[in-house]
Amino acid sequence: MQMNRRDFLRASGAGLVGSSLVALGFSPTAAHAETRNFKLARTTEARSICPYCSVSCGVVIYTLGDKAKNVKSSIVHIEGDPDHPVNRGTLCPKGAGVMDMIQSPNRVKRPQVREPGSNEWKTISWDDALNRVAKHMKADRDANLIKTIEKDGKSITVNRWNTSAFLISSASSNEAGYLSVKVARGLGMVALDTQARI
Amino acid sequence: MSAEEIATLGGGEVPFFRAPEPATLFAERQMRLTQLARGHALADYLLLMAAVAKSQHRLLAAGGSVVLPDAATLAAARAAGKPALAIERLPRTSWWRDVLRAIIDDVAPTAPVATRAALSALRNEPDDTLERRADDVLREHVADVDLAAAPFVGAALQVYWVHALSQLHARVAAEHGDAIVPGADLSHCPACGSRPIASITRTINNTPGHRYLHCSLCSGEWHRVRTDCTCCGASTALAYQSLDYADGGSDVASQEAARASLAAVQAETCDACQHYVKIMHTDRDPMVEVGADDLAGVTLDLLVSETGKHRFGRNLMLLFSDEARAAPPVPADPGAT
Repeated sequence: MQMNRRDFLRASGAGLVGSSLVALGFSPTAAHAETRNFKLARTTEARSICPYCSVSCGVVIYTLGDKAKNVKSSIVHIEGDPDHPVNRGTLCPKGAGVMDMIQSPNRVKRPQVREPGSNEWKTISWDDALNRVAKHMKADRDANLIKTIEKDGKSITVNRWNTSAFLISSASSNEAGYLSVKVARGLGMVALDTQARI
Repeated sequence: MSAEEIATLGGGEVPFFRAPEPATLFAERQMRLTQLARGHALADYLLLMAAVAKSQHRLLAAGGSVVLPDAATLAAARAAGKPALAIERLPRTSWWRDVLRAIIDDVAPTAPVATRAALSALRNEPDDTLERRADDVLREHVADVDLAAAPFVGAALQVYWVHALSQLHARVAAEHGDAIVPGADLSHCPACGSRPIASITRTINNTPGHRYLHCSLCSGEWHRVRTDCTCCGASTALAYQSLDYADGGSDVASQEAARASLAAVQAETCDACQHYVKIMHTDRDPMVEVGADDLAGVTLDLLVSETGKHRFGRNLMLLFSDEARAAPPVPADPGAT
């Protein structure tokens, strides 16, 4: 193993030896001994969007733990994102309490379905949920898509799908909003709305 | 809050640059160093630096002659995205050497015996030697820097640059302009081009958590969005390391860890560039002072450097012989968010 001076200083726990402190005649012993009383706690900060209302305030989520070291990570704190242009670090009382919602045992974490005629919610996989939604959409579109209309004696292609509507998230970035519109319009949907309108 | 109050807050911009307050800057540093010295493993060193800060406060208040760039030079630097008071270009008057010798005269009588010898040697050095030392400290000529002289040379240069920046700021503010605007490189000071000591989050317009980087030389503070690596600008590989007690039962340990995760002083480490910069939170401890808390938090430096991360922050009160061997930082993309 190659070891330069820096590695040597680090390995020997002598990080202060090559410093102004020692050059001025002070002893680094106590400071080096002090490190034995401590270990490092690792936190990460992630930006996210408050899930409650259509204002879509930016939040910073503080998570304690190191996934790489197989330690269970847990959210320790959530606060408004000071750099977010919508809320500039502020949160309403409901948003400020969003950590309790995230950690609530009653929070729904997987897709659920209540079959016709049933009075129970059944947990299903994400694949099943997306397949069900896609099948419903395809069945409705196949049954109700208006391909052409007659106008002034001519047949005009319109490919309108009037019987389904699409509610786009208010938490979307510009890019996600663009893609949402492209997907919905590509299917022929006319009724698009976004929750941000509220 | 009334509708009017909300409206005034909503319209409040977060200023990009905060000029230092010459009236309180070094006095607060001295107070905080004295406060942190109590029971500290490096108490003697913190008290020596508190004496330096006290002397800096006195000499800055007395003032002296500095050379400021004229309007044309300022405009040219701004157009080129370069710092207005760049360490390479701002001329130094003899005032900074007077400040250096005055600091030594103030500090030497109460300094430890071992330190006094180094101080009297520095006190008697000819002007051109001191100028060379200043260049070595400012331009990070690590191999040439005299580690014993650096905190005092650095302290005198801080007084010079803080005074120059305050004068420039006052002059430009009188013309209703911004003295310092964002440059191309957000990892170095937009006023003088030095490395920061650390980040500090401040409360602006009643909302806490706005991150500023505190310059190691001129003490100007520039805004930078949170959770971006100061050194390389990456936001995906950051973690925040703070001190946690090494012993304690599992229940106690998890409580302590949760408390430690919201510590007032943390090291923002980046796995992309392998550097770290400390970040201090005034909303968690209103007393934190960047220079003092960085120096007193050397335990965090020692533990984080054991994980292989290099220090990007620079504190002239405590220079390391190996600090700038770290790879030079990649300038952040100013367009990145």
